[in-house]
Amino acid sequence: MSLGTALRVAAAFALLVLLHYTLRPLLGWRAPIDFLVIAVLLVAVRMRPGLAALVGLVVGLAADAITPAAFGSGALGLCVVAYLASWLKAVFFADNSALSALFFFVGKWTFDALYLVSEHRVRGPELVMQLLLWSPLAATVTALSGVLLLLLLRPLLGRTPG
Amino acid sequence: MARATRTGSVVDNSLLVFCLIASVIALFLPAKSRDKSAATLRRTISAPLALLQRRAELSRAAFLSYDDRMQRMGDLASLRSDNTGLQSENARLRELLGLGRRLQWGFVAGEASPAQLDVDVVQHQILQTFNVTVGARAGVQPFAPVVSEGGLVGMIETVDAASSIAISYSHPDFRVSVTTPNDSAFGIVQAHLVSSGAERGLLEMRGVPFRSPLKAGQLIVSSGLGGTYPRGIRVGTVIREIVTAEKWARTYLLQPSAPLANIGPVFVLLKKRADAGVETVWMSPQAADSAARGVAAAGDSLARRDSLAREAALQESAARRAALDSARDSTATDSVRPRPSVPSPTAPAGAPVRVPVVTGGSAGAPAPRPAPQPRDTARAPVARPTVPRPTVPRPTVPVPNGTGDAGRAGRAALP
Repeated sequence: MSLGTALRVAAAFALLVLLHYTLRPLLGWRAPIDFLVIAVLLVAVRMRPGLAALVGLVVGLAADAITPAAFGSGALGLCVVAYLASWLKAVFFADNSALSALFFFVGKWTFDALYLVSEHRVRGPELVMQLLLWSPLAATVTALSGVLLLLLLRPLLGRTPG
Repeated sequence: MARATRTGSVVDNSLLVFCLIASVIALFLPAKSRDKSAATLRRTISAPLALLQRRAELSRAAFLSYDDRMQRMGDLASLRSDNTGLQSENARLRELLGLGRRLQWGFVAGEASPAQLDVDVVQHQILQTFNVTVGARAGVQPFAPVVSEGGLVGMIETVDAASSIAISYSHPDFRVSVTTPNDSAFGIVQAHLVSSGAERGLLEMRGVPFRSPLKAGQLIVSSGLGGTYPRGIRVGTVIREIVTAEKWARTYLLQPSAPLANIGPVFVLLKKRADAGVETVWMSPQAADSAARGVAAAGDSLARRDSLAREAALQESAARRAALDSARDSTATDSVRPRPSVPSPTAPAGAPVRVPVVTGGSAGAPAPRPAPQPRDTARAPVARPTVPRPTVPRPTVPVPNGTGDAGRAGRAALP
């Protein structure tokens, strides 16, 4: 990855992180868009799996710092998702919107599952409801938003790797 | 190549394991250490993110609370509007309660519709007929007077079982025989029929003899002549004289006592009550006091020369109140006896008084009817008192409304 590409990817990453902390709380949806997952996935597919996991860990810890009750959960979820995304980058960026959406969906759902299970805050039927209803909904919204953002950021990100 | 790949894979796996271990450690940190670590991160790399998130949340809260505030303001405005309406309705009903207390019996309360007319609507489209929510079942008959606290509103024209249709004083067919409270001038009041302008909705008092000029602010009441309206219902106050084709008599423009705007609850006087007379109802001390105040104010604006007259009016009012108190006392002791005469509010204490008007028995019960009087000669059988006029010194300045001693003195001074 050239320096120019790296800078453009960093800009896209910063933009998505910014959206996560501005647009997401502003919208306040019950099933919110997870721009952080999109950002991590976007960066992870351009890195080696180990480095992607490290990025996931740092971003996750930074996000967890704002919600101390679940400190570590986000880091765990994001590092696993980032590692898997980097490992499956050929599938992820096949220039197929449906596949990309599916990957965003799976990534977000996996992240939520890891986050909720490791967080130990919700249990029993509420956890099931969260995992089977709200997480898929949030994953759907995230997937749609991710595909839309990929289309919008295509001039910035250039050809997809893989 | 394969070695490099294997090395890369080992590094990746090592990093993954490191990240997983770090995450698990973060997850299972003691609460104190976890909070400390989170606080450190919040103060460093997460600080701008936390700030952004907080501002976004505040913006959203402000946005949501704006809607809430707007809704609350709307509710407040609605409540304020309702409150204003309720206050004015309450004031009207209180006034009407006062009138009902003074009438005591022989009336039916109804609601005039269209009610809640806006003043503008009334000014631009004078209310000539209106429905009253009481009819024949309640004893309402055609030609029954419709009154409110202010005075005469109109007359029942047609009666159904449960409702009636009345004409207001603005109707072209409306006529009422009127006089001043001291009978100094008689005339016929009808609607002032102009198509536009500020004089719409006013009344005309026609046929006033040239020898009986009236001053602005003079109260005009129904005379009782003609049989439809009993004597003493307030009709209006004189605004000024107007020029008409009738050169043989004066015509005056009157301000109606009972505004048609926002007309709501009204009373329909039943025949028995009208026959019994209502002279003391609108001329009670309370009503007369307010009328005197209004008239005195009008006189003030016309000519500021009535300090003595006002004093006389106050004395007059005090005398009336004392007379009413004594009348109430004697009624309380003997309700069978004919009621003592309640002096006409326009007559000063000690001055000649009218023959007592029997206003009925105790509250709520129909009073014994007075001896029937021929309607057409209503004035004739009224026995004028033979009490000589007192020799009290009369004020030299006339009362602006022409009532009372001062008024009489003023009239006496007229050519």
